[in-house]
Amino acid sequence: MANRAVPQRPNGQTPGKICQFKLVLLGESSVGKSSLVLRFVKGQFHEYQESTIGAAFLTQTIHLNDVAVKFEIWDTAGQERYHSLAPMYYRGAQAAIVVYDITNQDTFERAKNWVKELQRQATPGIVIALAGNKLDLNTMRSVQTDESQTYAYENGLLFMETSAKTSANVTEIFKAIAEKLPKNETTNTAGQGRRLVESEGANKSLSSCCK
Amino acid sequence: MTCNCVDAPVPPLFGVQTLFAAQHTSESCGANGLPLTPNSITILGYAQKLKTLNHPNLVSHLDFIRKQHGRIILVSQYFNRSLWTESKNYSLLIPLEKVLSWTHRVLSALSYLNDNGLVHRFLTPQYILLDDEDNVKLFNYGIYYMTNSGKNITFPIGKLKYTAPEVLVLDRALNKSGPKTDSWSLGIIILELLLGAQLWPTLKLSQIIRKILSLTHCTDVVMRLAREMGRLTMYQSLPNELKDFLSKCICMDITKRMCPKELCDHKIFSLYEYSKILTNKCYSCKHPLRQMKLNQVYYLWKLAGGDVEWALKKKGLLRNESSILLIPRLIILEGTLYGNARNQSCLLDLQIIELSLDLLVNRLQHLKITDYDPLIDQIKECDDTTDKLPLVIREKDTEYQFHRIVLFDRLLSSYPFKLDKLLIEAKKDIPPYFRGEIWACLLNVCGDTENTYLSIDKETAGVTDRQIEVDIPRCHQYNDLLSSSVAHKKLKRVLKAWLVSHPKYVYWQGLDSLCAPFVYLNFCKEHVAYACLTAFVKKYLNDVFLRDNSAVIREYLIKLFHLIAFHDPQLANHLDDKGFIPDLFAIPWFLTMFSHVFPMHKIFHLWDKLLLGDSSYPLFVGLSILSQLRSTLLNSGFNECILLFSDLPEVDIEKCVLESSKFNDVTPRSITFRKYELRTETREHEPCLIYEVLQNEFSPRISVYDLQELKRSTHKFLVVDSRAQEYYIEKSIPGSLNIPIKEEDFADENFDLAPSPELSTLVNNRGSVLIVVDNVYELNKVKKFCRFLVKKEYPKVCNLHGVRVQRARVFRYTPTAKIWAWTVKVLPFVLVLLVVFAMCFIAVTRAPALQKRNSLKVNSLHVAKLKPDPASSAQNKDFQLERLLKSKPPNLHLFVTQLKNEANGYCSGKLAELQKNAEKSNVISERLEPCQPKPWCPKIPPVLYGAEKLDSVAVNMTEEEIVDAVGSMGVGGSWAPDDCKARHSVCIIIPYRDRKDHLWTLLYRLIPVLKRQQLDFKIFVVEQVSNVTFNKGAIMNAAFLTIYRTYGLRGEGDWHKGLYGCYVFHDVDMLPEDDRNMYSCPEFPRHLSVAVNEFKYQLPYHKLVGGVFNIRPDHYFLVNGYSNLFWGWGGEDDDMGYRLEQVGLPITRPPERLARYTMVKHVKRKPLAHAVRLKLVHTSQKRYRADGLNTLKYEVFRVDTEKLYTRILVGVGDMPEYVRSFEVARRITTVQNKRWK
Ligand SMILES: Nc1nc2c(ncn2[C@@H]2O[C@H](COP(=O)(O)OP(=O)(O)OP(=O)(O)O)[C@@H](O)[C@H]2O)c(=O)[nH]1
Ligand SMILES: [Mg+2]
Repeated sequence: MANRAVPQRPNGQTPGKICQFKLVLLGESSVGKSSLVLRFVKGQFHEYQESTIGAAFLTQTIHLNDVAVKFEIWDTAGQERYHSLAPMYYRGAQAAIVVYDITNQDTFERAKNWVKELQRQATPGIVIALAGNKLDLNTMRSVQTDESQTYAYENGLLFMETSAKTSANVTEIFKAIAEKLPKNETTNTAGQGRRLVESEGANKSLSSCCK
Repeated sequence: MTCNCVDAPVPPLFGVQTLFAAQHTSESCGANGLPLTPNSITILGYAQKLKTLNHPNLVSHLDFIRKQHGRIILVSQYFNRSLWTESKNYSLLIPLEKVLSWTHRVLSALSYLNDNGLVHRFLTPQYILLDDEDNVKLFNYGIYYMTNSGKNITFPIGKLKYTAPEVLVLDRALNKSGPKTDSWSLGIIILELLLGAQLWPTLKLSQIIRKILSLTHCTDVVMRLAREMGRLTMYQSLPNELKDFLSKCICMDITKRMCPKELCDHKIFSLYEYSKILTNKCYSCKHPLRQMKLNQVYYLWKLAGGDVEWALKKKGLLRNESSILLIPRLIILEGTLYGNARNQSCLLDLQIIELSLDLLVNRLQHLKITDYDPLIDQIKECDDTTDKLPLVIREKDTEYQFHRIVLFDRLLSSYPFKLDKLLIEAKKDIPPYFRGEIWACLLNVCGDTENTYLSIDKETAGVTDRQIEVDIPRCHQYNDLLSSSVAHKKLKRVLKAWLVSHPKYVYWQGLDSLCAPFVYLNFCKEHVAYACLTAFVKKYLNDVFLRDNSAVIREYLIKLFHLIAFHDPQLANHLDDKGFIPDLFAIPWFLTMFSHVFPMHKIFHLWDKLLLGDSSYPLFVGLSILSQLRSTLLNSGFNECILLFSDLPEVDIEKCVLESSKFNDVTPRSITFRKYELRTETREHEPCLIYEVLQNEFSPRISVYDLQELKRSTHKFLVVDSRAQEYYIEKSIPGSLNIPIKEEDFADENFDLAPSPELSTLVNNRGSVLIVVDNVYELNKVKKFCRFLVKKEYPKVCNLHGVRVQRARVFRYTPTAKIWAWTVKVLPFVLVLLVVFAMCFIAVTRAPALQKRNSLKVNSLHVAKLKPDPASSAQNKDFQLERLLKSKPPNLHLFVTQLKNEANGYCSGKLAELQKNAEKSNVISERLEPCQPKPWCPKIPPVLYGAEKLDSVAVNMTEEEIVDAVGSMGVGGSWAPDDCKARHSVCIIIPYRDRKDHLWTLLYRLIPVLKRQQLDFKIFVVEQVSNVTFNKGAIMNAAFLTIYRTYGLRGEGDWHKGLYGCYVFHDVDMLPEDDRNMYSCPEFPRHLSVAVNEFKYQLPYHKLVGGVFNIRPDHYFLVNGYSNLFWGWGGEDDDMGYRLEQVGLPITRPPERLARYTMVKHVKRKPLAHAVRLKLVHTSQKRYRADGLNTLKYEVFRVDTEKLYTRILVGVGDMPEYVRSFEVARRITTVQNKRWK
């Protein structure tokens, strides 16, 4: 990664643009979606992270060069049954992280399905990242890095192996996404987070929302 | 026998001990990479079972407390006399009888333990206690069990001298001790007692071990031991039976040693009358506390300020070493510690601390003896002062809790009698001590739940096991007990049992949280937890855990929103404005009844009240949470709002509970009525609506019943009548306020009510329940008016559900006297009407032309008008609806049932026939090719063309060319894909009248589309016999009935599929432009021709269903088909729109960009007179049950099988003469007029 993130400036000293992006986390239950978000947003890790029902919403801003990128993050429920709710959250999202657990092959298969669904139904041009979580359990790995790397390459996804526990690659994956997102100047000021209940036909193509 | 006196001293009853659990080396992780559960928690989980043991010769365990560094504190019943102290006190030998009686009791206790899967393993004379009645009480029997056979601790259990030899030899980690180890220990103890001497009193541990192991080669172990004790002669003088008994205990060979149960039956016990030894001494005076259950006394003692830890500290048992001394000297990188290991000797403290009860005794000093044993029916109301204190204080008040415990103890023991009293008391508060049991009562758990639970298979692996397994370790894990492995297993078992016994439900994430409180409260009674969960789900979460629960959840959410609008319009406006819908935050609330949202102690207080409320109580809880956060919400945008709920701030649960019950009290029941709740009683006119309808409304509906209730109650309310003034003057609900409004008024954003006396009444009544009423067909107006009022921040806005304002029914609540007066007034008019109708009837029956079709009788049912209009009844000047309707229509339900039977009968007959044929031919075909089942067609048809541009003129092709162009077709216009099983079966009905080129153009366009959509379809063209007035509604009904009765069988080859599942009513001039517009029936009626070129590809008005309309047969029955009364062209479609609305079916539509049609140009025909149509449309709601399928008179003239369709020729009669002659006599509102142009 050639790009570095610029450390946050003191208050009021950010002359650059502010970009808002809606990002959604998808993946099988208990792969560590909520843990990743918690690590990214609050820098914490809870061993007994409660399961997510419905969805949770959090925001976090990172700084890239002179651009402040604000992520509006939707953390969704992983159980298959909550699948029907998912479109509500990924509709209008500009980025998605599909998470699987490197110690569990099934969760990787599920992740592939999510990718397929996103490519078919989400906003065209959505930036998708694949995250193999629980890297700290490397010794118990059952999904090989090569395998997922190839898959990610073939499908044009960002790919990283992360660990919410040790915080390896957590901020990095969000940064990588931020870099890949278009940050051209447009006038759209409203955060996309609220565009949840749009009726059919909302699949307009990806628009960035910098101000 | 005993007598109570409050002044008697109370000896200490409880003893305390502490031990340390083994600690994991730091940083060691489990297989999931997460820290291992501390051993102390595991121990805590196991220990819970000890609390449930109950035997007269066992002390009861009262509490287990977990402290830092893996310390566990055990609190149990305690007596300071034991066999050890006794043996010291006796200067002489203890009498044999006495020893035997003790022995027998110990054995009985041991075999009880064995039956429960426990062994003592720590038997010493010190731990065989004697109570004040000289009764044996075993002590410390739980340590071996709760430490998982010693696996979770590092120190050895047992006193070496009494320990059976095999325990010393075998590996502690691999072998669990069996019951026979206790026999050995007991043998040694008895031997010492009988011989009055100590065994090896001066030897060191290592020497003792050597001694024990050396016994292996000895023939008579007991004799050898007696010799070691220096009492050989004494031993030899013992009775032979006794020697035999001892040799069965103290026996190196385990196989020959007897277990406690066998020893119990040893003949020695039949030889001596040992049982008489025990005398039940009655102490003349006993403190009444001692009659209470020990657990209760301990609970109260703690409330009174008793502190176990402090008692330990006082005795110097809890020496807090300064933490610097605990730091290891060396830690190597893998995490192994060196140095400063915990001193082994202090891991288990054998010292037992007695807890003094003085504190409690003092606290309860002023209570009278009767307070301990009250007559429950006369229980004095508790101190008013305590009653009013906040709940948390009441829960900590010793005296208050004392009264509550005494009271509930009695009430619970007499359950289910006294349930009413229990409910009253539970309403005040629920004492935490009895929470589990009281909840079970409130949930009506009774019957043999234990056996039911036992009989359920909880072990077989299921599909959701993985999900349950990953969820449980994340469920309320801050709670020590629930994080133990025992709790995990229990939770899993209860969940699985529930799933197995409720096959219609599935596991949804969140169910674990829901189950946890019950498991926690009934930790040792899994069956009760299971029964509570079952009852709870049934009452509050009926149907929520269905595989497809979206309708149920959505209804919950919409109802919540309605409730917000009802009570807090400002907040509702704000949330609506920001798009912050309940879907975003309230799903976990209702799915888990807040158990996923709040920590355990809050759930307890919340559910204490929830369980007393009905199934809509959760909605009020939701409302009160919102109103607690109200000010923050009002000042927040979307993102802040949602962030607020992602990390729910501290909610004051007591306030929340209070407020929710307040909301509950002031909300009419029908406001929160949910279609999916489990109902014990149904009231007339409950607003039973599906969520599509609800979703469109901003305010709730109220039932007539509740309006009547309001009248009776003291609640303030105001009925706002928004009809035009004429209607209002004609008749209205007494006391209602007329604010005439037109629907169009609301089109203007800034519309406001003009100042008027009515408006000021409205303003003055801000705060009362505002009930908006209007004519039924003005639903949209009512909706908009309510929305308007909410926008103006009027609270408690609702509209009256399901009432025909024109009808007399609304007035049913008027006092009887009024009804009488009213009847007397109306009676003459009714008589006049009767006479008129009778005359008409005679006249009509004489007229042969009309005789067949319209048997007009006196229509008593449909005299809808309150005040008959003299003009209309007297002359033929106005259009008479009543004359068109047949009297006494057949009951719709019966009609449909009969029809279905007929169709099924036909179907199964046909099927049998086909099957027979198939079997015959199968014999041959089977040999030729293996029969392969067809796969389902793909969900999305593989080949679709998308949008096509069409001409709005008929194609210029011959019929033959068209037949060629559309490709092969089955018999009579049927077709089904042959390479796969169609997912939908569709029957297309095209009403037709002399527009041949249109029909063929349609077939040319439509058939290829249907084929590409891979449907199993058949096309019917229905034609009316010539030269009578066209009646599209009636012939469509006729076609439907004909097809349903006899031709409804799908593609004859595919006989096993039964009837068509979807009917499409297709106008002949509608050409589909886009084949992505599926011709199938989704869940609700679907209007396909949304965007028509004629209307500039826009939907002209919302209720339109004309053009192309798909409906499932069951829904078609529900609306009773089309109306038969629309003679001439047009109107029946709009009537259908009203019918759908009336039965609560939403009209669904595909997106406009797909549902595009081209209309073929043709000359417009003369429509039915406007007035007639209007009249009909306006009355459609009240007419639909009496006009439609069930009243249709028709005749099928012929059915022809054509190449591309089946033609049905039907007669439905002609337009009645009086309709034809009816003159347009009324002024027609211009707005309505536009529709018909
Ligand atoms: N060892 C390890 N455990 C992790 C890691 N990330 C998460 N976990 C654990 O995995 C479990 C599940 O994590 P969650 O973050 O709740 O998973 P989720 O994907 O949000 O699950 P749902 O909310 O059910 O969809 C928790 O017990 C976490 O502590 C990780 O990087 N390493
Ligand atoms: Mg989660």
